[in-house]
Amino acid sequence: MTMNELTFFWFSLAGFLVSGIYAWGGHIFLGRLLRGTGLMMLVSWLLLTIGLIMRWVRLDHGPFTTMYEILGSNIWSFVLFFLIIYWRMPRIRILVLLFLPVIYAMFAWMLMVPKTDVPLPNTYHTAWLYVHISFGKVFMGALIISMLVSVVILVRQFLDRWIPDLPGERSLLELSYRFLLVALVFDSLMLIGGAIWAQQAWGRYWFWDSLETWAFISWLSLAVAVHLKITLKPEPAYFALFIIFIFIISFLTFFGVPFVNEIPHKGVV
Amino acid sequence: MITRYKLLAWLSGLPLTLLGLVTFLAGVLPVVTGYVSATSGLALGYSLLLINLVFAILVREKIKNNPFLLLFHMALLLMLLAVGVSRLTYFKGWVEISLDMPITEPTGVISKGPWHPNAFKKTRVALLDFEANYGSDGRYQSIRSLLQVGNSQQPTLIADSQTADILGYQFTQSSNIGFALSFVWMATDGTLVQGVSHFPSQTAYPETQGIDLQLPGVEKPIWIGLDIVSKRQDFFTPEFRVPDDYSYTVMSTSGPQMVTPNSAVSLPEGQLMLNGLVPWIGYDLYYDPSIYFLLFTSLIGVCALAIFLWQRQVKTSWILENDDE
Repeated sequence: MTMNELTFFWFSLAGFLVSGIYAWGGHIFLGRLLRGTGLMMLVSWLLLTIGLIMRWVRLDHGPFTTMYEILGSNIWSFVLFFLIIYWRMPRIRILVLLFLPVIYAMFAWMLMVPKTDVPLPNTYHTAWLYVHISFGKVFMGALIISMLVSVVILVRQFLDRWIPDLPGERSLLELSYRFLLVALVFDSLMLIGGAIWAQQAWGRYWFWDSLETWAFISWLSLAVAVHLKITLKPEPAYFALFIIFIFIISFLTFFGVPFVNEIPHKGVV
Repeated sequence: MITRYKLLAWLSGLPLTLLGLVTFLAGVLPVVTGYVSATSGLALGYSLLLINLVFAILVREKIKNNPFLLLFHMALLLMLLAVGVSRLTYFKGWVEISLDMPITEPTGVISKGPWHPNAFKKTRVALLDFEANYGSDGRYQSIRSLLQVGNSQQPTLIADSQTADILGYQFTQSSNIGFALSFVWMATDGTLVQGVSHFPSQTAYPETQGIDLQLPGVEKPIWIGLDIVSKRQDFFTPEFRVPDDYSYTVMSTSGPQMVTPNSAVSLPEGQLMLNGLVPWIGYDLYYDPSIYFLLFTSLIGVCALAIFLWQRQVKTSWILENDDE
């Protein structure tokens, strides 16, 4: 780990912190989201990108092996996904107030875990790795938006009209559900891509290792949620609670299971 | 008539889908703990979803009238059928092959479906060459091997990230590697048997290197231990090879005997010639004819679902009218 990479990561975190203070300040004192919040986030994201590229060039492989790298690359993809939504859906830009604390937590975790350099395992030298990971990042990006909207629905049960810039509960529920559908499609694609990779690398498309099993549980929970919404039409608050539960399961699958095992799919690398 | 209509509606309806998914989820949880096998844990949810899908495709007009929704459901049905075929015909096991000693069947079975067709039989698979590299700290670095299938002139390469399809079985390099005893048995009645017997994996059981050798015409198996004098680093680094200095301990009815390579042991039933060691390497085997079909249909299904959802969602805004803003 050279100082340059870490310096860029710290600068990026500082940038996100300033963006958060700026956004929350505008919301609290002026009652609106100030112009320039997105630009500040974009600059912070670019700093993170530079740090990740420097590490990629130095190690000659992408951020795929250690928890440090996985957290870094997922902060990168979460922010990218959010920035696209921020750009394309102005009505929900205010979600940045809830999104940035998630990023702070992940940054804090990332900067605390060991920053050791681990060579890329032989089984990771395949294009399917990129396919699998890319789909996974879109899946989690969509799920995080769905979760943030669900948090607003839940908080509004106690604080009426919390974040008034956002529309009513039924609309928020519909929005959360639509992002959940995107998450379901990309989660499915991630699992298929991963299965092809596993078949190529280890001769079996499914092994029921802890990561695969929890990934399947996440997918099933998503499928249950989608069918629950269509069939039983639950109250927004209950559905929001279920989406938050799915996010927790998926987040732990992404970061908890590999964290326990140090590297993903450890048993078969 | 009404009852039949209700039954069809229930069998083809989304509530049953939901029930099937929840049952599936409930079936996966015990699989995580390891108390239940995946096949039995998922059987009930699988059956419910299969029934539900068949009736949904046959009965539901909404599905029949939308080509993408129909394609998605058809793909799901084919996937479920493929998974069923997979569980009935799959094979999971391993094989150990020593240099210049072809094998004609898997060494061991972990699990297999009841209808697994043994495609391996009567075909020789020989290890032509291999290279296994380990670092000075003893850590594994890389492995690659060349196999010959039958009389094929084209050798098959297997490496860390390169598996091979041989007779429908996926050969994957395992971390197991070891030595095999090459021997010749000359019975007093003139019977001559030549063979190899594998000592346990050097990577998994370096401290327990012993085999029970059952010779024809000898009542009890003879235990043969491998005593390697050379340092482990000498035959693992940089490349795995037969150690320079080793001997055998033979336990027979006449008691323990220390035997050097290329020496003979006399037994009441004949003479056992213990030749030198030959290396063997291990492969994990997996047989599942449904894999590519499964992957293809799953991709088709997800794409059809994505198009269907996209078509439906773009028609309406997520901001609903008369919502309490």
